[in-house]
Amino acid sequence: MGFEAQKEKLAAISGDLLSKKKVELILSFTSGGPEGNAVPFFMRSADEVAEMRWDDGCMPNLAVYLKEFGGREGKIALVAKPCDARAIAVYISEGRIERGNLYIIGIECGGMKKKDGSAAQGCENCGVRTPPVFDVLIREDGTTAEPVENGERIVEMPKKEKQEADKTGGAENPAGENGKQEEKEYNVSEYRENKDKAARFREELKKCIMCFACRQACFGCYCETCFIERGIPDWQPSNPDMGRKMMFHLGRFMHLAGRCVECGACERACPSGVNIRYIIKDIAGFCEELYGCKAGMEPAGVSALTAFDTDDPEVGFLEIGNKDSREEENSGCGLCGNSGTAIEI
Amino acid sequence: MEDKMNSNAYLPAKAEITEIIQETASDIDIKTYRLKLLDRGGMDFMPGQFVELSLPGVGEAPFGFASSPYEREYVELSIKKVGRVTEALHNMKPGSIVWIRGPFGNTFPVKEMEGSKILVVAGGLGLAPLRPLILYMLDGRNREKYDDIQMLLAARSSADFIYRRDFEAWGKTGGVRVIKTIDKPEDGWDGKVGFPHVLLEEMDVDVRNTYAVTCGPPIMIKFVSAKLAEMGIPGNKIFTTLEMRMTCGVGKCGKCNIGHRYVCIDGPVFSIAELREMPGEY
Amino acid sequence: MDGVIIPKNKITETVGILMNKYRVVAPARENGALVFKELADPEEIVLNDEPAYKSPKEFLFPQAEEILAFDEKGNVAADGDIPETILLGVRPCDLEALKVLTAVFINGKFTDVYFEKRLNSTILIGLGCISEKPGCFCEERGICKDSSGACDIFLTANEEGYAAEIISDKGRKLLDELNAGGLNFYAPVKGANAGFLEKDACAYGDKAPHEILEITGDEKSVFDNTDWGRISERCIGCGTCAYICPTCHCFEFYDAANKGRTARYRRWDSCMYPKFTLHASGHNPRPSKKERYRQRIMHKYVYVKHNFGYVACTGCGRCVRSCPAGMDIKAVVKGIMEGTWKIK
Repeated sequence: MGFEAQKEKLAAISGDLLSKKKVELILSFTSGGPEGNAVPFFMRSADEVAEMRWDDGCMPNLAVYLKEFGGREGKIALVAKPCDARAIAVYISEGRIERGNLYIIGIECGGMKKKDGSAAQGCENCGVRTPPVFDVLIREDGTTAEPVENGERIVEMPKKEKQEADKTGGAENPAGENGKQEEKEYNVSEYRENKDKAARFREELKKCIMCFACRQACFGCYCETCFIERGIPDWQPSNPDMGRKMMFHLGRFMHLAGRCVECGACERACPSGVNIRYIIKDIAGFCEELYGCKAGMEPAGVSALTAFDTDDPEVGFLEIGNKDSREEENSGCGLCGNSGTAIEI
Repeated sequence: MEDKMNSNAYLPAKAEITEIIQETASDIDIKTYRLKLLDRGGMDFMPGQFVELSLPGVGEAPFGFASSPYEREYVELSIKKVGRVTEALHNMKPGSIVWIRGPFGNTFPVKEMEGSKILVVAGGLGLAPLRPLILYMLDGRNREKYDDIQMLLAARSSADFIYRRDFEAWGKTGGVRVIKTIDKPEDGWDGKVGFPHVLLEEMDVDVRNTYAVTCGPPIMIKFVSAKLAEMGIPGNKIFTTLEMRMTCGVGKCGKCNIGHRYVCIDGPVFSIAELREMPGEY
Repeated sequence: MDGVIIPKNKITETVGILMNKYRVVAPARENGALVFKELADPEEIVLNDEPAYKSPKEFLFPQAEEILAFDEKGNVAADGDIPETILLGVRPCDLEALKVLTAVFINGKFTDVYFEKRLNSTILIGLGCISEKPGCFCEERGICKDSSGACDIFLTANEEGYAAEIISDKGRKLLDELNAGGLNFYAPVKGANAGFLEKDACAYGDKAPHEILEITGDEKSVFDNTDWGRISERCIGCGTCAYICPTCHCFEFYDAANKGRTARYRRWDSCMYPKFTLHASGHNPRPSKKERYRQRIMHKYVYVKHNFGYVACTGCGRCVRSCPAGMDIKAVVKGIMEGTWKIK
């Protein structure tokens, strides 16, 4: 990965945009915090460009700031890794931003790394190296490419390259979670019946303190009033017990099905170190396998939850209520481990 | 004025709704609830203070007293239907049980105001927190402590007034003048027409010896207090009462502050002089 | 100054003895993270120089606490028994933070009886820090990282083990209890030459008191003339800072009805959440992120100081370490005082 070369090009492009006042603001990265981690950087003048950084520690998802900036005053630019660009593509398809007010500096990426050298959250198995939407693209080697027609070009990796990428988790990140690629299990019924999965999730959620940092950090969560805060009935956790935590996380995952771009922002935001992407990773896999939806790969695309075809396979929780599942535990889907209701009325 | 509820400020006392009076006849639905505390009848409070009223399972909300501090048998709260708790309350009938705790907050400076002329300017539901003050001043025990009292009572339309049943009695009290005004002309309306801050110009106000008290929609408070100041009443002699979202009511939960002032402890009564020092986050 | 030395190899045994009578809450690992938790086994305890990522405030001010209940007969009752607790291994920053919480909840015309009950049932055993961690700035806040008098017993690590200094009568009583159990390996020591730190001495280094990090000046001027929008633009409003902060204390009440019994819970809330100040009418005095971030800083550094006498920030550094967007409260306050964020 030619980070140096890319950074040089990025600095040149940013400097040009700002000094010629083509944009009011560029979202990029700089170092900050007590450990000098990469943090979001709001550049407003060409002399700030020198403080910018671009390397394999640039994990934050900058698209999340478009929740506030998208289409407001003035034109803004941002540095978009493939996951960031996919997030923007989701925003475009959901009508959340003014495309004309956004200048996307796409940048090819082989995966970010944590300080200890292991893959960053979300980067372990990512095979998407080229942003699917951009106004200018900075390739791995620092050269640039222009978009074709309407500022969008979807870059399909050649099949063989993709398979290789899948196996090794994308270029420079050969280490998956256990040092090898995890087997992708996308059999929904089997998934649901595998009690170990549920037990493991409950174990993870023990750490959760329901602070909602994951929701705030997620670009896809932009509802003015989150479902968990709706009043009637009161889903609000008065007491954050396991049932309520399950309700919040599983509900959020369903709302993100087909929209999550696996940027890892949720896990990074979590102060308790909960591995919440554990299930949503698999939901994203299901959506791709069952419905052909991979979030954000097409700006004009639809997400799994917004389109319906009578041929769509109906799996997952819709299987509840058939005879076999009733024999398990008392009621419900059995995921939270509570017999009986998870909410109090 | 320590109310002898108990030392736990979050624990409410049971009260029964003995009467519900429909105040307004418009789309702004305001009712006055007469509440009798089961253990003591009324509450020991001073004008300006408020209670936290609970409906178990629904929630809790702050409401200013609207009855006379001398009433020993009950307290009254005037409540507009605007959210979850108030909607549930508006669906209740006399005989229902509610829970209240208080009194909380500071009071109008009734001692400081003695010997002065008093000007009350109220808009819509803003008359509710001022009613305890009016009833206090007009009470036989206190009337002679205050000079002339003028009341400019405003409402959107004639159907939006509250406490109409009191206006005549107030106007008949010695040295008290009641002027009613609505926003736009109406058939059969014999009072004034126009916004209060405009009508103030026509009124005879002895600016050097008057304490003014005003409450109503935020925009009204803004214009009226500006007009009063322009007329020459000093900021520390103009008082208003603010509302904020509250939870504990006793200065712990950090929800109701405007700058460093907690509306539940340093308010809800504030002078305009204080308001000028306060940041605009209300 | 007097106290005892607890030898290193006797720590676990001591904790075990304490656990027979008290609920012992101390730093321990949970799924890899260091937190304060109720010990199930004395071996779990971790007393090194690592900071627990959450503060121990939840044992005095729980995240969700039932404060009263309405039952079928319509009665109201405030809930019951708090076990006698030892909060062990609390750092000076967290001890000073408890002073702030005590001032807010107990001083004044009204007392929060729930906090008071828990505080009275708790014995605080502090633990000094050896080094500052990245993000810590307790010293700049005028708090000594290795000593504190805001507890019942204060532990300082030395070569033999821990010097346990008796600060209060409660602490003395506890140590007497331990000694009365027939354990004679506690060598009672008196005086400054026992390796204890003088209560007033502190490793301030060359920082004079006038350099203490705080916000001074006219409140309204700081409020109005600071570019809060620019300061807070990186913030994503997640509220993590409030959850792990040892001095954050804002809360909300929620009712939960269940089979004829309605419980009222007091639950943590955060000024960083959009609905914190939302009125029923729909009006919100703090409609966007910049007003809310302004409230966080002003409340901590100005309002709590004005109303209760303490700055509600003890430099523990947790918010700085945990913020996913790299917000740094120390840099913000410093910047405000240096005029960096003045609206031109």
